[in-house]
Amino acid sequence: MKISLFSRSKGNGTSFEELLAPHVEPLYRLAFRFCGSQHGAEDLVQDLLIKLYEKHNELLKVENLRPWLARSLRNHFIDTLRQQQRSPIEYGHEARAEESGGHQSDYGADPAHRLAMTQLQESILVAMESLNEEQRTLVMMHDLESYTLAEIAEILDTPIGTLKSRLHRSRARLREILEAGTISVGSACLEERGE
Amino acid sequence: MGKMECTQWQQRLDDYVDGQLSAVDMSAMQQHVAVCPDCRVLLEQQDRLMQSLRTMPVPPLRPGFTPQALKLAVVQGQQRRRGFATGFSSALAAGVALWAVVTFMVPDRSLQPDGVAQVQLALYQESTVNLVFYSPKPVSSATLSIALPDNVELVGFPGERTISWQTALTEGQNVLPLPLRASGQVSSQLLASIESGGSKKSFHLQIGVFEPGSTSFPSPLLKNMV
Repeated sequence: MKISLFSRSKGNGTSFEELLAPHVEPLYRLAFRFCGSQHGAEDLVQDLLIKLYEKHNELLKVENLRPWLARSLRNHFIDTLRQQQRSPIEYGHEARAEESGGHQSDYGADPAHRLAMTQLQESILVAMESLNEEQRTLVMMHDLESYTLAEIAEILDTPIGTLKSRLHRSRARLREILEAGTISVGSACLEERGE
Repeated sequence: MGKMECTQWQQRLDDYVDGQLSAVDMSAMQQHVAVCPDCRVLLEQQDRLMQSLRTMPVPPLRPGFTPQALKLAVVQGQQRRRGFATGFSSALAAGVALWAVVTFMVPDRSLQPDGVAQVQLALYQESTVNLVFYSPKPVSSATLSIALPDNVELVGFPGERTISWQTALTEGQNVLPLPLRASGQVSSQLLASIESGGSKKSFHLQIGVFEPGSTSFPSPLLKNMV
């Protein structure tokens, strides 16, 4: 029998690079949220990709790769932390500001508004340090990286109802911390915009 | 404004900012916020918080990182597999009992006695190498994988270094023609593997590249890779 190379089905014939290329940047973003360092995030993703190559055939069978890969990344991050016997995840805003190299999101053309948003985000990063690990992970995945609760339920192996109430508590806690601090969640931006 | 009503809506702020409210509830909440200054301030604060969270910056991924990282993963993975295939070849031989013969489709092919499968490709020219898989019985689903070295491309699959797909095998000889083209004059290895029923066997094909018109034209080779 002659086997046709060109009859391979799309799903099973996708190369490792084709399969993973669209997921590398989202993985990097999530890795950055985990470790707070650009180099650390790149190393984490690189190590994960090397591990995943051995699972190419398994990956081809995964229906929704996004949460599957996010779960793998988180597990790999936790394993790496344990191996290195480091302290838990650091979310230091100073390290992040330094690593981000001045990169900012698009907050519009108004410099005052951009400055206010940057200050608010730095305050939020500080406030996030007071959340527990579960809360931080949830806020990072859902509110920063836009994973759905259904995806996070798969990633963290936690019921959606539990996640929903945990998210509610986390956001309330962030609001409390920010309102108790020097910058209110709303006032900085409202004042800068003259509202 | 009833305190009970405010408490009810404030508890649903998350549903509002996450777009989880029904159209009816959304409308009712907007009507309430329009006449309740306390809830309006709270909603504006929640919106600000969510906007800040959703736009929290990440330094951009270094240009070229994605292809480089994927390539490194493939190269390191292939190196691991080579070690694995060598170590477990005898165990796998007792499993699926599939094996391969590589033939180079030119008339004066010859056998090499040293047990290493080899072919010679003319630089920049397409040549078809046949991988022949023998199966003692029909196999409904086997996974074939071809991992190419950097200097060899599978014609029709530009840029792809690893190609895998499912196929059925008939009893006896199954021929897989591989149209290959070499882009660099270095010696390298192609890795072919076949996996079925939890067993896997890998085969290495040594690829030499010669420049057409060279006086030292090498003999094409036929190699039994069992």
